[in-house]
Amino acid sequence: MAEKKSIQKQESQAIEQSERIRSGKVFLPATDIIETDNEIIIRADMPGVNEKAIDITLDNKVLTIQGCVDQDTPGDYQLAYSEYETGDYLRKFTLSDAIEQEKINARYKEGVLEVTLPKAEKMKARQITVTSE
Amino acid sequence: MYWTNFYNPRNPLSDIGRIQRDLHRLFNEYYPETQRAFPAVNIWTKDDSAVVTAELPGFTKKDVKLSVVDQDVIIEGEPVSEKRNEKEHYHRRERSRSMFKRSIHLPFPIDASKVDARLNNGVLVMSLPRAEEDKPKKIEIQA
Repeated sequence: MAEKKSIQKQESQAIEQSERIRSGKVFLPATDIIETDNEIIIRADMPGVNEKAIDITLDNKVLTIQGCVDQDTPGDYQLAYSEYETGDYLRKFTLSDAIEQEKINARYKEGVLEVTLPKAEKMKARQITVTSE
Repeated sequence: MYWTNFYNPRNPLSDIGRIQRDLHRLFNEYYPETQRAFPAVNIWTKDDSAVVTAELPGFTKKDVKLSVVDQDVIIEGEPVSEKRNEKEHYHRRERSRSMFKRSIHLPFPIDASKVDARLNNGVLVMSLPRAEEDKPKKIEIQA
């Protein structure tokens, strides 16, 4: 009876060379990447993740965002219709040199993870004026 | 005539069904987006209640409006705009941030006064009890 529609989430593929211990699917969170003069902001949709189950690591310019979902299926109910699946989230981004790595800041609110990456001082756009002699 | 090759006199509608299927497949291939209703929902049921869950990342409870009409649950919402800066520039834009309205048809009428809805970490969970008058009544056999 459970009917299945196209799955909206994109499954994370071959993102890790090693296998995970936790079973279940892993998804790529839908992400916006915004650049302003002073920073780069990454906003990733990770609904259903507990704040404490989010892991952000930066290793060799690779920023990894990871979130584990609490799989709580409602008690003695039967799944009658399904349009989305739940699973963990994992995504990696390679950062440029231009990031002030010590000042990276992250917050999680309403299922959205926002990571703010301040640009390094030397990379901020500088206005160069051309003078004539 | 060309089409008579395909025409099945016993079931003249089969051709229409086939064309519809072909078109559907064609559109799904090229415009998969059009098939997507937002938000995606999962529906869980048991005899006397249902649970509807939906992923609404970035929405607060103030942005989402729920209503129940007999057998239908209507979810609608409008995201508050995330702070916008004139100098910002998008490298990627994958998240959906638009207005939505969706109605979900359930297998039984709902008791609107007993609905419980929660929005936690971007996941909406609604528990919808079946209306009392719709529940099957047990009838004792007298003799």
